[in-house]
Amino acid sequence: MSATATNTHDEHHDHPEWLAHHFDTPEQQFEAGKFGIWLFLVTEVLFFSGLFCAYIYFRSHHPEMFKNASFLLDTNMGAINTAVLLLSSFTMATAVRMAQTENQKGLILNLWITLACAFGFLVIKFFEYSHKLHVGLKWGDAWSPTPQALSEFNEKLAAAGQPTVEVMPDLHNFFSVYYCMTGLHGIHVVLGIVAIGWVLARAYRGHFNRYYFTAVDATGLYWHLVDLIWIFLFPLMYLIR
Amino acid sequence: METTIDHTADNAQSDGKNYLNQTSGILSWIFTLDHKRIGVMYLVGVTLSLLLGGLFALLVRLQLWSPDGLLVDNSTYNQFFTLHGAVMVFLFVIPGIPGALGNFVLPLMLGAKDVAFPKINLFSFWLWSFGAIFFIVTLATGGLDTGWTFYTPYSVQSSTAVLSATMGAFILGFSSIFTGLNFIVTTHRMRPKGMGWFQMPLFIWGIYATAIIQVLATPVLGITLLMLFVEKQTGLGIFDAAQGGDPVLFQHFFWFYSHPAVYIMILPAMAVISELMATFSRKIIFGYTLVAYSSIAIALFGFLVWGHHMFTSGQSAWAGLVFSTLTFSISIPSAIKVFNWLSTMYKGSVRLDTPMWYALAFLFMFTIGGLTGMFLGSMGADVHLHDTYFVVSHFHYVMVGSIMFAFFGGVHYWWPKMFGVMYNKFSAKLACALIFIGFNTTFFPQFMLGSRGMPRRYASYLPEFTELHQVSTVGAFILGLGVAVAVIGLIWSLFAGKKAPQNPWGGSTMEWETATPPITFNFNETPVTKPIYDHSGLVYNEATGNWDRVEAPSEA
Amino acid sequence: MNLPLLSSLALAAQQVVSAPLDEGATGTFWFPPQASTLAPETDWVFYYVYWISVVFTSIIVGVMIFFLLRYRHRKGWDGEKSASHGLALEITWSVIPFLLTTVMWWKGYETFMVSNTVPDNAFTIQVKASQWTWDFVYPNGLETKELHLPPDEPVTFVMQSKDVIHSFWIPAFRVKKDIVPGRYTKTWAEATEPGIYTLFCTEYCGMDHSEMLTSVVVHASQETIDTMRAGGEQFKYGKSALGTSFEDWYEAASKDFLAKYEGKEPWEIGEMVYTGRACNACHTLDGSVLVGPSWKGAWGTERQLEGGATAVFDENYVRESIYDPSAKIVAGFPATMTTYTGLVDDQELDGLIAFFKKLAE
Repeated sequence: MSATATNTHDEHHDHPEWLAHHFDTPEQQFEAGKFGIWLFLVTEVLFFSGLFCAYIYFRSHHPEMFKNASFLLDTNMGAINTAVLLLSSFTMATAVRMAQTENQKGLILNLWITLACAFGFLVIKFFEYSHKLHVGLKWGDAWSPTPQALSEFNEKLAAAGQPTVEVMPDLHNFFSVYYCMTGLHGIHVVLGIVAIGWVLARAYRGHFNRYYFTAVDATGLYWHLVDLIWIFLFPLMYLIR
Repeated sequence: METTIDHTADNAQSDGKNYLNQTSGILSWIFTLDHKRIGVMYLVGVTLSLLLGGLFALLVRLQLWSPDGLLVDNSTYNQFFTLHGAVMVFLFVIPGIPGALGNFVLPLMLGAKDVAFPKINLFSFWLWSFGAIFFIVTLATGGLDTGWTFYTPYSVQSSTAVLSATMGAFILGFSSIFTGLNFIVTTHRMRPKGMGWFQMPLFIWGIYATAIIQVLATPVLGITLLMLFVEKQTGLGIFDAAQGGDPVLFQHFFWFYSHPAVYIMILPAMAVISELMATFSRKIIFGYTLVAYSSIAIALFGFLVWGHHMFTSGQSAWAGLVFSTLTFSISIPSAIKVFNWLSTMYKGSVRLDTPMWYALAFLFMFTIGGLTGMFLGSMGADVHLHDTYFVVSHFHYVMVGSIMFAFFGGVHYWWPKMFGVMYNKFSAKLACALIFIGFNTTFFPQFMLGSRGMPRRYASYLPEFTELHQVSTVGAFILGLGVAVAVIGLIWSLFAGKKAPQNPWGGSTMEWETATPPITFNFNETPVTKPIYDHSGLVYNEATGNWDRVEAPSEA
Repeated sequence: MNLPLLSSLALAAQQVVSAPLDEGATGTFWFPPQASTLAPETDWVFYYVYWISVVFTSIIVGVMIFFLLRYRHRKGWDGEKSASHGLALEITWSVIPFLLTTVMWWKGYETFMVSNTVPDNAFTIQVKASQWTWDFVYPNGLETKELHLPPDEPVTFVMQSKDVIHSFWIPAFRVKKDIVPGRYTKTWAEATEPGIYTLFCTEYCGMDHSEMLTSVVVHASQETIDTMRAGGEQFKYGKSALGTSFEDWYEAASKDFLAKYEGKEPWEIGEMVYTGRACNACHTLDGSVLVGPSWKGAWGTERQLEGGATAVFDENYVRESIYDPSAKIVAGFPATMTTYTGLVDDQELDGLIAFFKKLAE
């Protein structure tokens, strides 16, 4: 392994521990890391873009379906989740600042709040999902709304001043898209939790300083992207009628 | 290192070791962060994949020896061609040159110690291996009969192991993304002092352009395969017409990745050829700047032409026209490259070593592959030729005739640097000749088959096509023999090859300035950037077989 | 492996290749015979690109060989300084290919538009593709497994797939179009040369994809047949359908095909349609539910529809459900049924209505 192969190396370098052997300067390492994470975010955006294209495709082919289905989503829960994620983005940004200023306590506190928000988001999402599955609002083939779903639908319609219906319209395409997009987003939240946890563990060990905080920075950027995607998903799914 | 009298011999390690024998044991390879070792592991992996894919190719050709199929029933044949395509595309052609040669050469060419993210690089190789394992699982658990394109709704209906295959391709996609990401950052941030963008070797330009596509296009394949996976598993209905979905949507998604993927495959090949033409003509590539720009142009245009796979799918004529326009516009940068490579030989000192054999064969076959692409870009002709053997032959001229030749050319070029040994030049040239003859015998008749009316993916055919199919099958076995001779020759050299000098071909780029094989950290001192492709300081030394760098002024 | 079909096709193909009607029908080095109005146009585009390719390949290979001989390293030759770039040259070899490809692009588009612009009011044949057979339905309800065409008359193909994507290709006509489930695709052809040709499926569609082919019979015109007979000339293809005009074949074949309803009660015709059109794959008569609602006692009832409306199961409802199945979807059922326009005619529709009434008795 290369770690043992330092005999010809490091003779004329004074590498700090956090500077990888193949970089010449901390600036080079920082710039490379920053550029890398931005490129990664680009691939993430493109990864989601496929689903956004599917959303546009189905929305343009079944506009009434998307209008109806938005009544079935719980706007309150969605709004709370949006707020939770926004808060977490703020604390994440603060955490990066704390790492830069070498405020160890602040860094750890903010990371903990971010982590808590991420878990909070998942808990709320879990309640949303389990209710939908309970009343049979499922994807594709599995679409099987119960009478309870119908009565909830009519309540929402009535509240919005729309005429009620006797039979639940077929909304399975919407829910296919809904579960795909929010599900993939949820997976990203879980991955975010892992990343934040890892940064937190390193923060406890005091790995970060004003010269080296790339891991916090990168995790922060990733987390902002996860947040940003939700900022798009929330109106597209819950609000637009 | 006494054989080299070159002043760069100080790029030796004080303990006399190199990256190959610095540490030993299987774990020292599996967990290595050294880009050179990762490159070597890729080389082994993609070569094994090439042999596996080639085995399926030979089975396909055997089946087609007789009109009603020589070997197996229809479903087994469908698995043969599917696995041939999937293994070749996902495990060999896409990762081949970037993974094996790119990893080994790119940091050396930049005078860097490693790629920007060595751990991600290793992770990328692990992902590749993991993806390959999924393909093996696919083989073992029911095979795959959807064609490598996984077209819906058939792929949803098929009872073969579509799930493990899509998962494998999904994982390989991420391997490709991380490799691309690494190369982009490396190219941007790890260049040595004095090397601006237009002092970079064209190999780096090509790999860089490739990496852009890998990073931007591959995620779309990822999400598409994921949707297909979920659709098949849970009846999602996104691609299912019966549920209000659209099977053609899948084709759009798929080709949005898979056409750029063609450029993921060909750009590295072009990158290798640029190096070979420069070194073996002892000239700078004619019109260097334009060749560099054309790589980027190809990469960017490549994103906008996917619809030319779908002229007959019922997309609107207007969309077809736009895609046809863009398709033709991409042919111009490709033509520019061919003319510039040719002109590089003008007044050069051309040496016909083995890599140059491959490069010249590449020029010939890429010309045919490119020109036959225009038949297919022209909508009127494409209606007749789409999904026939004409298409099969066209893309094999690009993927095998061009890419595999560039791969072998590159491997023969950098082999001495990688392993410190010279292969037997006679057997290497014999292999090149066999592959060239075998390849053309296999695929030229397929142009005729296609335009005369032979659809692709057929397990049996009309008797009127028998002769052409049999010629093609004979060719395939010559081609297989050639590949075997090449691979065996290379492996043999590891045990019996002469010790290679530091710079056996007179290459002017930085990888030739480190020891052979390179030391673990590539360079003790970052080499000085010289004018690009300036061969004037290199003089052949008859005694050692090395091109010594003399400090003569370049005006000599 | 369906050998009889293949060998009969082989026989048919050999006939065409070895004994053509006239010289126009022979295949060439690159192409099968030109048997439609589209073929010459397609071939023009092909040969335009072809000759350009031949010229460019020759130039490139020629220059390559010349350079190799002239500039190969040897005693007395070790290269010479020369320009590393040349703007004029670069522009030349960018602009010339650009101009040449512009022509390819435009001629290709024009030809494509010809094949893509389906004529109005042409004779229409429904093409039904399914794994792994072709069915052709003519305007009067006649159904065949082989495609029969009149000469010198545009024919529109309205195509639908029952399962996966297929593609309709007649090489001799240079016509190809994908058939995508869930939608109609259309193409057309005007056959010019009587003969027997092959129709292939060219989009991979599963196990027996390679056996999804059938014959296309282009009949000789009555005029040609009469002229040849009057001249005492033996019609070369007397044994095959080519010796009969399309009109005669159509009449005879339809008579046989449609005679199946002769002397039957309307409800019996309906019952035949029920099994013959495979309605029974989705709709039962005993009240159990498959893909679609059961027909048991359906007549005259009120149906609960998707979206909340209701509809009475009467003549108009039956007609609409067969010709435009997605217009009214019974609640709780998927909208998977495809239209039977052109597949169920008035007589059969009346039969079905009678059958529904009978079921409700």
